[in-house]
Amino acid sequence: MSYSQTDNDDNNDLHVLDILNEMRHQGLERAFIYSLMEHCQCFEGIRDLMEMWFEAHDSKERDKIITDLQESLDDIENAPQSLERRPYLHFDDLEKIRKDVTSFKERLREEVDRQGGIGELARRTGIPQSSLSRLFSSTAMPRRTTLFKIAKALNLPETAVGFKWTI
Amino acid sequence: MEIVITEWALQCYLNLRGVFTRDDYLNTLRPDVVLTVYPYHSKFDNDKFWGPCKDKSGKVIHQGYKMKWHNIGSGRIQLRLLVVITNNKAHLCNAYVKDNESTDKREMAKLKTKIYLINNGTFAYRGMLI
Repeated sequence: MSYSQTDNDDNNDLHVLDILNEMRHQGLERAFIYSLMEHCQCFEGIRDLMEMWFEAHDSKERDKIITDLQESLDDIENAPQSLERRPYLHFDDLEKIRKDVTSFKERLREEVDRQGGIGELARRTGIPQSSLSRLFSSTAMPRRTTLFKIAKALNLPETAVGFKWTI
Repeated sequence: MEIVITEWALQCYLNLRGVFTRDDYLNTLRPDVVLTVYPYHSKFDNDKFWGPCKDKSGKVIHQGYKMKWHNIGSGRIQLRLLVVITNNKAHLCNAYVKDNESTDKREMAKLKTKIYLINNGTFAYRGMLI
């Protein structure tokens, strides 16, 4: 089987490199950029977001795109090995879950702030600052893998971030 | 057609606190979503209610569809629910408030990754809607 790289493929690859270089120049975490490099060839959605980031001029918009890129990377890297069924949750249970999630995140955020804040946590975990901000401001369940990274960065035992409502 | 509640849909519902009420959910949103069991309901001919997803270039995203509500909740916001239809199942994915075109484009990009994972059978779900 032979593979031939077309001029269009070359241009696309170079454009991706331009974007990744710009991301590095803008101070985005190395681990994040490496993950994008790993997945952007296979996942068109990742490339779309990268191109949108490159074309955006507003820093707030860029932050939103970075957060969405991290979300997509999390979807890919934490995907179950096969179809996974999780317990059904009734709509009327969601408000109680939201309150539990908010309370947990507030306590964790206090520890984050004690140890230098979100910026410092981003540096230690390799997770973009905007993603961490969204994590703490949202009422969605946190991912276990993200909590473990945060625990390690804060020198906490994993039990300290043990929480019922994680994914 | 079965309606699958993916983990992504559940997380979005958790995050949409205050956007719609319990009444909105029971009387408007859920009944509309249940219609996907019967994909030939006349509501699906209305492009203000249902249509294919398109990416930032305007290209149709295969298997991706959008359900739309234009005046939901006390804030009268535009709510969108993205549905991936494959293997005779409607997979409920991200739900979001459409506050501008940029939000929409970002959600379409994220949907492409979800479509891949759904077709690959590597995703989590919380059961069936009905």
